Amino acid sequence: MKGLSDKIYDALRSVKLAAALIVLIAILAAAGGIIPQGRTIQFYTQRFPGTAEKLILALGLDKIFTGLPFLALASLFTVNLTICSFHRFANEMRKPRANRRHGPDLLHIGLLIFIFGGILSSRTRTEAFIYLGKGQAARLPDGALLTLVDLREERYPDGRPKSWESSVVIDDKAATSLTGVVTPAESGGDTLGESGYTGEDPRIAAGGKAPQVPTSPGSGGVTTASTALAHEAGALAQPTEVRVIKVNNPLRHKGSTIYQQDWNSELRVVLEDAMGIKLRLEPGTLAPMLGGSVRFMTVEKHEPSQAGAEECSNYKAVFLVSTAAGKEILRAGKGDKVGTFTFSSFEEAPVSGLKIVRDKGYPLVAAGLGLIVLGTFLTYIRKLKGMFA
Amino acid sequence: MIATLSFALLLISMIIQAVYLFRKDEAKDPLSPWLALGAGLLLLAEIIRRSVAIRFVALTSMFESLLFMACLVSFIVFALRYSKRLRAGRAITFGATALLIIFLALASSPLAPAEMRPPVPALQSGWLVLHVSFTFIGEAFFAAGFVGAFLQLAAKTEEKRRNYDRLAYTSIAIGYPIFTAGALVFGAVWAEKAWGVWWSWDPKETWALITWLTYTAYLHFRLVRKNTSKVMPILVIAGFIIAMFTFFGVNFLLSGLHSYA
Repeated sequence: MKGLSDKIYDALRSVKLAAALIVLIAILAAAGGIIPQGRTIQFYTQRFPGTAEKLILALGLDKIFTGLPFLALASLFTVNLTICSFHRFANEMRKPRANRRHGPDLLHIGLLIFIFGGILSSRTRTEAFIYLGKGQAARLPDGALLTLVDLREERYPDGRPKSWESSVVIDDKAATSLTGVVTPAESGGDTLGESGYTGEDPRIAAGGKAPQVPTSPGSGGVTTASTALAHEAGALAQPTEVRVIKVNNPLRHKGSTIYQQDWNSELRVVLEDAMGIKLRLEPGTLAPMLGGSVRFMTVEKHEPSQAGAEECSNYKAVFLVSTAAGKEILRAGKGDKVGTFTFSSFEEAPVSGLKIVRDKGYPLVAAGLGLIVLGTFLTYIRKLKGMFA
Repeated sequence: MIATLSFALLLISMIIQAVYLFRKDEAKDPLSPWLALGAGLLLLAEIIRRSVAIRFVALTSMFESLLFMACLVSFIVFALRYSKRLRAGRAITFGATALLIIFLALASSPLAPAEMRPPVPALQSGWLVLHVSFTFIGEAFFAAGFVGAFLQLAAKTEEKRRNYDRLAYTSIAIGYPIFTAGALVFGAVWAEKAWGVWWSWDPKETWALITWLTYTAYLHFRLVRKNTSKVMPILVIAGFIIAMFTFFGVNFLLSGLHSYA
């Protein structure tokens, strides 16, 4: 006669329970596959008006995959899989070596490793999205400085993208330096360097530590960090290897992976000083002047007022002008005075969209996936042989 | 043009098979499997021609995927007919040929534009080729399983039911590891490399998982239920319908990361 613990053990390792849980998980996943997940309340109100919307929100069908029913089923499935795996493995080991079949064991253990990796990933994964122009830099989560030294884009004749490629250098030593900065020499003179405001000018170097790339746990931590990046010139970085990031060919560096994700363009402004020297500013960057500074904040875009007008003719650049007298927000068009400068023109510059991810769970996920493939093929290979026998 | 020619071969094959279906003896026509093989080879030639033209494996649009799927099912029809172990009946090859014709009809519809376009950066990956090809090879076996399960439900004698069940099970048991590798494993590896996230509950991913879970449930039910149970052919049929919804329905009804598929 079996005791209660034996009965519970048998129930928890049973194939019937596994099959029932798989069906229930599939049903919940189907609901999650039909109802868009994680949207705003307004979205559900518009898409599913009336009772359906109330039902979706009340039952948590807008967040099925993080909801209690799904997680409870997944947890019970994991318990079932764990007990079943070890029970089965122990049984196989009692058999003569020639009769053992370890395909299902590998598959089940692979699934367990995959689930564990998935949990670790969901708890620890961080990601950030940044746009960098040529010569711009951003701090990686470990403090190293990532500088975009070149970017290339190819298009097919029909205008669709063919390839996006970013060349970067990573300066690990900048992790401890006080002034981790962009390197004008490597940037092709396309940043502050060209205007003659490079070097050791204390007005530019002040506060020259690049801000760290913002990260957010989970997903969705998206920011146009180019506005928050360091553009201050300073000491040249140590010569480092130039590494290429392409779509489908990410760069892995000390626990971070950098992906080529997007390609865009950014409007810069060109200011001219009294000497006629031109200075290019990206959004968020600062130009020092006698008695203060000018920070280019953003572009206010208005539709061109007449057909054939230059695209940017109606755009206004917004500056924050700081002087001893105080701070002033200034909207300027071409030819307007901005502090001691004259606003010369807009200039469009390509920027590379890079995604920076840290995911401690992925190695386990990949190992689990490998075992799953091996396990399923070992389990069913006999059928493939048998088909043509 | 080549696809149209293979469509014509399959139509002829289907007409011949239909004639033999109404014969009372068990004789099988000698021509239809070779017509299916010919159609499959023509489709393969078309895929190679397109691959050369776009300088990448031509598996990046719905039209190309349909051709590939039809090509694989053609080969399976031929293999089923000459497999001594499975002894596929006339109804099986007739059903599979009907499916083939549906795939090619869909390929010629406006739903699947036939224009040749080289892939955008995210699609230029060896992992994508593995992901798509393995998924469709797996689904081609699921298609054979679907026909077997359908006939199993309709069979009037126990012997036929067992025979169709055996064929359905063999097809699923072969397709399942290939589909697992293609849809889930290679898909996750490609997604990690291309998008920086190996799983994102994107509708296509979710429905591929549901397909996998359905066949996983089927394989587990087989361990605990008799093969005469109607639950199993129903699961196989449901699995294939879900797989086809993942292939077509998700593309047209639900937007996500796979919108270019």
